[in-house]
Amino acid sequence: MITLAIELSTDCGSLALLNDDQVQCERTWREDRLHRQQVFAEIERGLSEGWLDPARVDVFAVGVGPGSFSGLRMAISVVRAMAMPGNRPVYAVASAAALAWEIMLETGRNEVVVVGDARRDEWWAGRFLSGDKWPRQEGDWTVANEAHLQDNPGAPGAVWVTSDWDRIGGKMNPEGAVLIRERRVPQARYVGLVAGARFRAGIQTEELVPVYLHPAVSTPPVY
Amino acid sequence: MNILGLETSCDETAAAVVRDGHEVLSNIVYTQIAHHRPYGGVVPEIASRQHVEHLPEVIAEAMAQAGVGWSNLDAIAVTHGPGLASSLLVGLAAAKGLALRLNIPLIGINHLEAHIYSAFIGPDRIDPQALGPFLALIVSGGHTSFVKVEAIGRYRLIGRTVDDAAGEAFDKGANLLKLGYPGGPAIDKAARAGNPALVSFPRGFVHRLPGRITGLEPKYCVSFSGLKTALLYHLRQHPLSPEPAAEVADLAASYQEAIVDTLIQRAARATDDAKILAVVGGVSLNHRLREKLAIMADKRRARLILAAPKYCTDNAAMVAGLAAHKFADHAPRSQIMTLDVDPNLGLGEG
Repeated sequence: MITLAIELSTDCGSLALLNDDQVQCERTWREDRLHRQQVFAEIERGLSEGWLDPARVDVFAVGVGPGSFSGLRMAISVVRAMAMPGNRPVYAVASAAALAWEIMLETGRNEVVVVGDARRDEWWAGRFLSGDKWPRQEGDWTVANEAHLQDNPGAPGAVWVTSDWDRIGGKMNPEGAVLIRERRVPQARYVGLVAGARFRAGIQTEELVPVYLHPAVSTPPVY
Repeated sequence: MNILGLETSCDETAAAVVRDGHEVLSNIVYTQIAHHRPYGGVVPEIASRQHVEHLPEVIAEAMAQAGVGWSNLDAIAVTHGPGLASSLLVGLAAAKGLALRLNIPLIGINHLEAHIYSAFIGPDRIDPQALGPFLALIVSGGHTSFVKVEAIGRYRLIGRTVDDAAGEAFDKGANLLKLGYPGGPAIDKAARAGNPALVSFPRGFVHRLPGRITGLEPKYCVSFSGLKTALLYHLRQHPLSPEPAAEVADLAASYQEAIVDTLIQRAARATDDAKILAVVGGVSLNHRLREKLAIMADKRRARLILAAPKYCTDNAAMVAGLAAHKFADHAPRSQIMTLDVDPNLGLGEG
């Protein structure tokens, strides 16, 4: 089964083509925040070089955040559009789940808490437990101030990881947790691995919209 | 030649398939008005969220209704500006994805140019190429502009609003009169039972342009910001009674008359130079404006071309139709790498 995965939730974009669990090709790049057009250049490169044939893709996978709204909207829109001719399935995976899976495979730990900067002086967190082939999110996303989040770090020995290390890393000090002391970003290959495994197992996709942690409008309606 | 057009510049999610630039095979619009109504105007973040959610189904419906297969498409066209950046981005990403997937050209379309072209699509169309130079009035929620059109693709902006667009003035007026959103249709409806001469609201004629605006002729420029303030002050001095229906009708009619008179006076001046006037955009649906435009054009022996009602508000048929005229300039995949959204795109720039 050929999976094309795209991940644009941070300023490090990536694209991966997988044949079942084997990564056939992978591209990563630093997003130009102003234009965010590199994903198209990478797809074009894949077409030109012949390693990407969209007609042969069985499943399109996409990371849906939490993260940069612009990146997520582009990623979701481009995979849904590419999947339309031929009516191919599109599978959404939380970008945080993909990062958690990478950390689980790397550390052998069973519990990973992925944390991010939710702005407005708040952090978001998602707690993941390992399964056979993919991570399982425990509970919903949490959005709270730093103290509230760090008071509840999960089981002793849980690994904490963030793609916002530059902004919040210095403040992260959850008691009893193992801290990944560097910036780690979600990557398309793990989006593809998790999506492919879930898809093959017949599990429904997550919603094909970005993970929204705040309402669209913070002011009350006028009418 | 079949072109799939996408339009997501503001609060309408739209897709259409148009053959040979004028035969509309499908024209699907998902309107987000219900989501924005509680806030009295378009909320960019809501608009973008709605586009992401609904654009794929709108495209699928447009393709199904058109009855053409994916392999029968010759190009994808998409609005890339002007508009809301976070909304434009969704349409552009989908358009690029489709163009890459199908290996066909991508054609970036200027939203204002597409509105001008909306007067030339549908079964009773006039061929714009056979028309010669004409003048276009684009009047909508986001724009009020007078444009000299030498030919499709050759434009000169000669006048515009220096502040609020006409549609914005309708929204703000309707808000003050508690008529709801969108304000244009609400005021149009309320005004039918009212007396347009009851209150003489100021007409927004501009005699001198602010220094920041260059290259335009004041005689074709308008201003609507003072009108809203005038209504606000009027309501402070004459608060509405507990049973205000008749008063609201009179105020709506008077307020509408001020907007319409302003546009008509400027349009009349413009038809002194060009004997053909095309009026496009959502506000061109206003009954009073259509009525007075017809009278003005008749008096001046000018030819008036109005976009068909279903092509006045934002739609993708105008995008796909216009793209046929630009197709020859686009080699396969040529624009896919370079085309980006431009929220402030001007006419003649893309």
